[in-house]
Amino acid sequence: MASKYFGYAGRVLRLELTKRKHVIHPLEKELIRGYLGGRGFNSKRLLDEIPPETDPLGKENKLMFATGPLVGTGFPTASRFNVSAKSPLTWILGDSNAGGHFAPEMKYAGYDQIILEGSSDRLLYIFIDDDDVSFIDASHLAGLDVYETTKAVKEEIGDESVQVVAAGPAAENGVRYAGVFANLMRAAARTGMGTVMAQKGVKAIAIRGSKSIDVAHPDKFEKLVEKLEEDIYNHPQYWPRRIMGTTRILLPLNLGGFLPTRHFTTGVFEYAEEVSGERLAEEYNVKTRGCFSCILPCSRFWVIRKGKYKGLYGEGPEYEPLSAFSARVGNPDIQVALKANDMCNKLGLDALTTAECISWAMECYERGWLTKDMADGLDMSWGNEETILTLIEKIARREGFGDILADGVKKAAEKLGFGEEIALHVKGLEIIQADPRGLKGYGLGYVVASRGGDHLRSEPFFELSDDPERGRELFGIPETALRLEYKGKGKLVSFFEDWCAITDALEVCKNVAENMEVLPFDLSGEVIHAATGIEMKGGEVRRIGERIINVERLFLVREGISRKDDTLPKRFLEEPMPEEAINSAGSIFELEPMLNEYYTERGWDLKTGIPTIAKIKELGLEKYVDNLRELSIPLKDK
Amino acid sequence: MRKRIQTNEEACSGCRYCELVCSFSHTREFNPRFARIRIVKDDVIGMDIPVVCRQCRRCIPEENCPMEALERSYLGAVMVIEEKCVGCGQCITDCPFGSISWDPIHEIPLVCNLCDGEPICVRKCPTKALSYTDLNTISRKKGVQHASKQYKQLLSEWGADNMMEGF
Repeated sequence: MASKYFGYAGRVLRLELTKRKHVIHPLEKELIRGYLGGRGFNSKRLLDEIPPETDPLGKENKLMFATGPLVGTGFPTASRFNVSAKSPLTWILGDSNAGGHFAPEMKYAGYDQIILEGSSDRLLYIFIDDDDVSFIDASHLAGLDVYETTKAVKEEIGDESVQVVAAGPAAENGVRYAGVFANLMRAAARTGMGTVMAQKGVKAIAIRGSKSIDVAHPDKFEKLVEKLEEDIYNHPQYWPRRIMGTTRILLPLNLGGFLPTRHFTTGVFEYAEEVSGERLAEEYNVKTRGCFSCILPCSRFWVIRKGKYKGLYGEGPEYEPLSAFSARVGNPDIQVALKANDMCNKLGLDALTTAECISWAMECYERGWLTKDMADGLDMSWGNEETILTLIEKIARREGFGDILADGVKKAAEKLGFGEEIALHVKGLEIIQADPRGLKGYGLGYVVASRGGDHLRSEPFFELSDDPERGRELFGIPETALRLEYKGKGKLVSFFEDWCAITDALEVCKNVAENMEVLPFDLSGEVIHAATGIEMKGGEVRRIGERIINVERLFLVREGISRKDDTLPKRFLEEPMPEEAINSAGSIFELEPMLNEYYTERGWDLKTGIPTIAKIKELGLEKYVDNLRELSIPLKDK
Repeated sequence: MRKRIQTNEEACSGCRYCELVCSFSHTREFNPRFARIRIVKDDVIGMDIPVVCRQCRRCIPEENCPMEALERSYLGAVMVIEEKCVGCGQCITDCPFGSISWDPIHEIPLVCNLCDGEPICVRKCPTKALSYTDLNTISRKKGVQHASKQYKQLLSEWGADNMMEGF
């Protein structure tokens, strides 16, 4: 049954949880033209529908799942969705992205976007079966972990092929950084989207569809897919990624001296070999697994065959949680890191934020600020296995010291009255596992990212290329290719932010499309044309990326964010990398010149970091100007 | 010799690219429900197993279809004659492997037709979890593998490890 839309399913599903009703409306053509899909759809709708000062855990907040025009087609790696709302962790834009098999099933059921509104007074799960929507009592699922929930929902529906996203007990208990989990461990973990879902009274969403996705120009589409296949299979990163996934970068980061170790007190970890992707592949991995329609499957199923955790098995982990639960917390045992990651997945926690909270507490302990008594009698020394695993459980249950950490590192420092200067977050979102002093472009990415301290908004991997000639060629600035230089990084980051916005709008895999450089703007335009029938040149595609970035910025500006918030914790601005971090030793983060360059590149006011009226108009967003003025937001003409 | 699609469950990553290319090559639409191959999965234990017609003798057109809507192609594939099929589902319940899919939109059974001898799922499988071979070749390959292993063991017992280079 072909829809009149090509590429898109063409419909939006709104679930009104308070009344347990649903409404289906057509996908707006302007939304397609202006924002393409996925993250673009969510960000635009959040700006329109979530006024400033909305309580993230109140019923006025809305939780949106959106996917893109290529998802559900055989386009390599197009399998992803974004889930967005106002974040209960940061009180700004909340947004997270995951792969697996949920997003294509949304499309087959006939939806590009699913919006959860209001809240239910009883715990529910929702079953969307093509056009039928059921709100099902889930009181018997209360407290179940992500695995148990997913399994129970599939069993009740009686179909193993139904796709499920679930929230874990951490989300139900109101931990502010609980994620939404698809296919058990495909985690849309950041910024607390699971928390929003559970607080709306939704434990899980199950979906099943039988509709087709048509592409506008099948022959052209087929040829483009063949080209992509060739580019991906012949890429030098193909096999390392296939064997190790993102964990392949742990050792290179260590070599570069910017592997965050013991809460960023240094950039080299003496046990890096033992916790590396190589070690994981050699001793634990048994099988490759992949997301839907992926020809570079990079997930790995692992089994622990001997030792204390014998019999434990699972999938992944990615570089971030592996590295966070080893180097960041000072743990030399890869099995403990696997166990910690498995616990976070099952309890439904963001592993990165969890690891930041634990490693922050460990540093506070080392500095003598935090005592054993305050931490429920736990030995808070670096790498203590029992402490790490106990705290994960305590955080998820909001028990004792875990309750303090369950609001994120920023709030924990406020509550305890110490450790604020070493609470490593940007705008309330805990920083990822790469030291910005050794990666200036990435660091700038954390500073300006619309969801806070995270790299996935920009991923300016080019600065690792060490090829100044190419830097001059591409960006006119040789230093863009050198990770320790700050010059040109404003330009670099804004380019890569636009690119990441497009991969998130198309809902393809950033590892492949962006990091491996196989889907640049021009080719994206061709693919969009083949799939949707909409003619688009590379420049227009990038312009959509820029519009998404600006819409998100306006959302933040409306919540009171300005230049003062675009910063990094003091550690990175004032403490040079220590001597032992050889290849990054002595480096600090030069915030001001980079930020100036970035704002200039973006057309944002240098003083406030707010988009100028000229820029707002250039992007066709003039309808927001009056609203911003009403809120007394200082706008400059240009 | 008659070839069939062989599956390797250890290599399958569960990406379902086969389902998509199958659906698209037969219908020019993307819909796993139109695929004649599908992946049965269990994320908890990391299971991904391709299920597709293996051209066994169980499916005898005259016996498994009261409407005589099934026939064998020159490749040995089971073909559904859509004009004759009434959608009774007997072939689906009869197949012990669950290899016959049900297309819920057109209400007909779907069986792999081997794409005229060049199955697209085999060509496109990213992890080579699918192959198109005859049972004789597989049997010989397996036999050689097993025999070599046995002989290596013997060589080792003889203390003649250097002879192993021959393998």
